Amino acid sequence: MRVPALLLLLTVSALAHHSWVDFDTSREVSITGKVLRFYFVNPHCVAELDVDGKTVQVEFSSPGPLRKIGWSAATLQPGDRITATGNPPRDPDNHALHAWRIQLPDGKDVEVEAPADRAK
Amino acid sequence: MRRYLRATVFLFSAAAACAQTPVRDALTIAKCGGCHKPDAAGVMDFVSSARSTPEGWQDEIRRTVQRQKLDLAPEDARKLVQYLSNAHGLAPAEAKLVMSLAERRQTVEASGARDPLTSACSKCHTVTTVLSWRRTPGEWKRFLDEHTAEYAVQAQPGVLADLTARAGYDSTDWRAWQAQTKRPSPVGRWLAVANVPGHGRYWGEVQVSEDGSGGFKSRVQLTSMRDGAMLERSGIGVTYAGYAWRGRSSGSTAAKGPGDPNGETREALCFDADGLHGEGRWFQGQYSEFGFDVKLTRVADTGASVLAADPVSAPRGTQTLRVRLAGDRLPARVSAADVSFGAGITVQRVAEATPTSVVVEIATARDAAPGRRDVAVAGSVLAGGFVVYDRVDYLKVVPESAVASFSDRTHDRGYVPFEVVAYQRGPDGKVQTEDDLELGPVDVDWSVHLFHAPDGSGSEAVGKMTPEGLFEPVEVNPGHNFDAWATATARNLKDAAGKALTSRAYLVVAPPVYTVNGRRFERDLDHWRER
Repeated sequence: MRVPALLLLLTVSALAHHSWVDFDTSREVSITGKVLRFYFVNPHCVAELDVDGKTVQVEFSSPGPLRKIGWSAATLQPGDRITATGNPPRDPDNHALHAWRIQLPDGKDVEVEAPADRAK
Repeated sequence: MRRYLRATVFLFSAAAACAQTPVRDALTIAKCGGCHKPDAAGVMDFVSSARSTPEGWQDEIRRTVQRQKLDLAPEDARKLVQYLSNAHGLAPAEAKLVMSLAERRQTVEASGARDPLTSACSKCHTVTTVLSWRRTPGEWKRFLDEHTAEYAVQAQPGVLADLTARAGYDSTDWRAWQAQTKRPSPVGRWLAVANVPGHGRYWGEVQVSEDGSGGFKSRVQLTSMRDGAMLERSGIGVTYAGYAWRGRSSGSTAAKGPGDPNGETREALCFDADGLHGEGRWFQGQYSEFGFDVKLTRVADTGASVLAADPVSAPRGTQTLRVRLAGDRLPARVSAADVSFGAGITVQRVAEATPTSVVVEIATARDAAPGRRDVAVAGSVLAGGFVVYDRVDYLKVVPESAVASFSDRTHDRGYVPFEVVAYQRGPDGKVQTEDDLELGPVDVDWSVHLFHAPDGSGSEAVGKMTPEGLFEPVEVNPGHNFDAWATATARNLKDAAGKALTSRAYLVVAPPVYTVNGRRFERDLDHWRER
């Protein structure tokens, strides 16, 4: 029997976590703020940003793909000023962003979500 | 030219043959030799070209029974695993690298690493699973060819070379292990230090004796560093190649709930080749989520041993702090002058002294430099065993991400025991880097917050945190998953703005079984396997 290997074992990031349906894939926004905390964790990474006194949860990718481009838990430090671009939440009271691009403090833009994962 | 090629082939074959291990066990030859025919030297294809852990060989035998319909009684299967693990196993140093499998740890690997092996294999396996096998170049080639054909995946360039380099049959560790004539034995008395998430650290001893039938009996006495509570356990075990302990034990009193340290646990330990140290995990729970992280040190014939300090840190400027030093053969008469905590720390007096525990009162200087200190008692040194700090920069919830599971008719709930550790940034000024100082556990209050809840439900829909940091899922399985934060708020630590320090862990609460397009996936540790 030939079995597609990708279905043999699914990690949390692939199966058991929320979809991106809460985010409006028809809109793109950018927010700039100060990093409060960065969680480099599965099923996906989260950076808490202070944006004009409001805490915004910026979600993107899982650690695996980001390690390929040299990221670690120390890449975003508290106090770093960054700009995140992605889909805003459908619910305006939900202070979150599904980001696919982050501009680091040195001005470098980093793609933090594979194109295929942007609109799930 | 043809002669040259023949010579090259001969040399390659000879080199490969030299690296292989002949099979000397009559039962293995009888049961496996029908397909893996031995040559005149006793070399059998595959069996002589591959090495693995007891669990690796057990899986291989199970697959052979299922696929090739090998007729094998359970008792014979156990004998095969024993022989293969002894003679065709891993060296202790190799086994240590893949112990997380036998210890049933929910580990998150660097699945996005750049090397070909990780990129190719981690889509379906942990890399540790792959590295739990050592094979000859020819055997890795055959394995990859069969694997890519069976699972319809593309062969990735560089994987074979990576496997051969990182998991080759022949290795320095293997040769040293083969040359070592005496195998370690677990028999004897061991000093133990164990960390039990949610219950703190314990210290004590483990006695191992032979049971008269080729196995071993164990008796464990541990004392909680947190509250002095005693814990007695007893169990049984076997070893593979002398160093790989697999056992089972339980406490002397009935377990009172999930994760109770008195509960029955399975045990997986790896002893060093010299038989002087051991390390591993005793675990229990539907997903092996509860456990003791155990370190053993064989009792020395002479001299004192200091194993652990509790607490492990103090801020500078501390006027008086009681610190327990756990060990063995500690001097009955010990004065403050006999105990050292290094620069900037004064040992004021010895409050208690027994052969296994010395309690001292210390003070730290206002200008003590933050950093690790060696602790010494009567000539025994606990390297880096105590830390002085001048501030707490951040907290970390451990594990930082975790999976909990609802129950169903065939699966118990899957819990998550969390702990919180404080850190000070190291000299690089950054958080989450290797030079950060780990300051030990912190008292916190816990809460759970859902985010992106599919039906707008609150945290009561998924479960609750106990004051000890245990996440308990609700009994009823809602049939879908939730994303939540397990948030810890420090009771006594504040940031520069006077706000209580907090940290969070990403918690996924999920059903134990999913059906996707008619295919059934069942949770195993922190991933789902198709069944």
